[in-house]
Amino acid sequence: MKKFRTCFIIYSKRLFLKPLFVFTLLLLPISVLFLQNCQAKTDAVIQVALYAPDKTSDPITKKLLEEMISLSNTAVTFYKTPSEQKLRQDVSDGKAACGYIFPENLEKNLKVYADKKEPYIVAVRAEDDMRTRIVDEIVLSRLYHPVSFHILSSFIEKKTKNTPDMELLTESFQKYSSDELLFQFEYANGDNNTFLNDSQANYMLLPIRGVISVMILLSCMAGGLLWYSDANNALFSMDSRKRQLCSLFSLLLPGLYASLAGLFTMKITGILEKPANELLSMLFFLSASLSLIHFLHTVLPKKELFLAAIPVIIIGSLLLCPIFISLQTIAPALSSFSCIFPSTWYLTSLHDKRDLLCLFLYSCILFTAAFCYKKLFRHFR
Amino acid sequence: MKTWKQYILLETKRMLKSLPGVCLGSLLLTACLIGIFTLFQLNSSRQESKSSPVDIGIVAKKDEPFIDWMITTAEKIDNAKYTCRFQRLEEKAADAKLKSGKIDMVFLIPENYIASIINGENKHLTIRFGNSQSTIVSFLFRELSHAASAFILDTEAGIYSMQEYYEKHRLPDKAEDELDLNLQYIKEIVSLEKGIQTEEIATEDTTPLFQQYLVSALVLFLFFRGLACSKILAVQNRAFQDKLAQKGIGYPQQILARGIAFFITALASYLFLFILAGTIMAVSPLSIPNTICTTVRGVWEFAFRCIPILLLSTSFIQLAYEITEDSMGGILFLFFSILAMGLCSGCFYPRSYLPQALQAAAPLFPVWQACRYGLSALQGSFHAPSFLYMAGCLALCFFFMALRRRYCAHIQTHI
Repeated sequence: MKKFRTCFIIYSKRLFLKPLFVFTLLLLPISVLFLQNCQAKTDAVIQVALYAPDKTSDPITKKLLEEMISLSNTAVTFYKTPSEQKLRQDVSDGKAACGYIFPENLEKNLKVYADKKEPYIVAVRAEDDMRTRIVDEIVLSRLYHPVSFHILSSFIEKKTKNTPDMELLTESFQKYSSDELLFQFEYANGDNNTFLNDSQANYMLLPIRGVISVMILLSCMAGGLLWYSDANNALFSMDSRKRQLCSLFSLLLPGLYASLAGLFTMKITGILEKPANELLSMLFFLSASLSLIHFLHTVLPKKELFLAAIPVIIIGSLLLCPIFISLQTIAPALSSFSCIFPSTWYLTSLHDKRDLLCLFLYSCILFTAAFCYKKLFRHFR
Repeated sequence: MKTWKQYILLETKRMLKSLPGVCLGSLLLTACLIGIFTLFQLNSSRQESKSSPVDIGIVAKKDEPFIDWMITTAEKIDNAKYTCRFQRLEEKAADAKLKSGKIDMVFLIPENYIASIINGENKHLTIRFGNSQSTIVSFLFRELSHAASAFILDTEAGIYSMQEYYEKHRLPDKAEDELDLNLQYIKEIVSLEKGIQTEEIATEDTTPLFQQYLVSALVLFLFFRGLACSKILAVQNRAFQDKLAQKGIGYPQQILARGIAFFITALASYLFLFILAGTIMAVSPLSIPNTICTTVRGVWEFAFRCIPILLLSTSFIQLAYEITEDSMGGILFLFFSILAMGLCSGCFYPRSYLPQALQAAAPLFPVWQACRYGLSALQGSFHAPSFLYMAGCLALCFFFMALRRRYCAHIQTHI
């Protein structure tokens, strides 16, 4: 035990004497905090331009526009343009995904629409895609409020063959109107999806957990380089079995400190959900990363080949694992290759205990494979 | 001069020894990228509509009333016709399909849901996505749920107002008229799109997203390859540098020599990459439509045009290892800086999704300029401002490296 502790201290000192390693660990939470705070209130995934003639618009148009702008969140943001030309310019430049031009007399047009179904607003867009369809539904849901009132008043007028008592109707309608959200979001295991249930969630933090996992994997791989160098270093060369176990600290410690930096980053940015689950997933992921690097170190005798494997593992993780996009919807066949990378299992293990088991099996399989390869290699030598 | 040329040759020989390993890595990465590209092309040729629909599973009790009618009504909504596909499933089957990716989300309808809406209880409907982290797509789909809530609640307000009005004025046929009004509202929701007149306009940026991602992938590939170069770019010890200086090869010339040697090595693996790409293109029907890369000749023209990007990437990688002087720190620093630049340059998310502050800063990053230049090269044109920026970055990289060496030598002399 004392030897393990001594080894732990020696290997840790070696790491912390590399200022750039410490600097990169510190850079992680700082840069994520910067990313979190660089988002202004008006920033969103989709920007939508709105225009209505300021001076001549009826009160309902002005109220609708103000309401839509106030409902802006990090997914969709509405903003007013001073003119129709500016709105079209913004859509053409790509500053806005689409724009909506409201008429001066929207209330009158909505009354007419209740009977005749004639268009009452103009949607300006460059491309008809999923984003513009989503924005259409949001805009229509806001417009549906006055439309539903006009349908009601028109219906009662037809049924009673008299002009309805508008004051009473308006009062009732306002009384029963509500902004409640009728949907809640969960993960597949029933855990509350805190991110999607928060309308002001910062979408720039979506890939952070995945990026941290790749950073930890890279730290372990960088530690693997030290393992190759240690073979020529008298101080760190390990002959006995105990010392060979200690040499695993070369891989473990960079990953461990990167994990701690990652957990700290997730905590301060509010991404950390259930600490116990997060710690468990991180532990299993670290073990899986160690097993992968250990396997590569066993199979690749030369340092050059190991170095060549680094960009393969890292780029493969960034592209195939569900960090930025989920390949499952775009290319399901290719997404099955993502199982090779431990980041895939880590990202799903937080909300699925079976994937924790998969991470554990992943580690066992790779450690066993490395052990068998070593024995086989020695036998044939 | 002769000594300097000899030094370049020796450095190149040394670096070329590592080439086989790097080429093997390139081969695996190219296979991965081409696999993604092939599947994208196959996927887009199979699609009938402009965008692939989202598969939604509906889970409710077998005897839950009106569920099939709800599904049929939702399918009739104009915007949902092309974007969503609904299927009714059992909960276990839905979870299994969600996990395997056969469906994108599951709607869990609670017991007596319609009755709860009618009597104003408004039970919450749960939407389940997969277990992996939320993506931008699920983030945007959340907005649809807000819209759906507004439709349901405004319809409720209309019905309750009608009920109250009928009670106060003691009007007859309340139940039949309530049903009539309900049906009218539903008919209205399904065809709300009739209220919008669409106007399509031309945009300045007409580059398809696929081409943008292809160029981003190439640029990131060239930069990330630096992660494999810690050994060949390891900084020589001070004594060796001083000895070279004594032989007439000053610090700037040493750096330039290593830069040239590294560029030659990188060029060899770059050409290997395009030999692979050209071979695959020659034996398969793969091509990048509406670009110069529709033939093998076009691919090589694109490769030639992108050499300035290779030059920029090699100088940046060399700078990273020169200033860190440590393989481990260099790898981590390089990864971090490339990832940060890539994120801010729109390599992962489209630039329009990024906060305004990052969008404004993006043109300052070499990765953004390299992507901009690459997109022009893909169209067979030359983007002079990006080229000049990259040339400036290249010069700046060498300047910093030379400055650092002089500074370190100066410190050592005065210790």
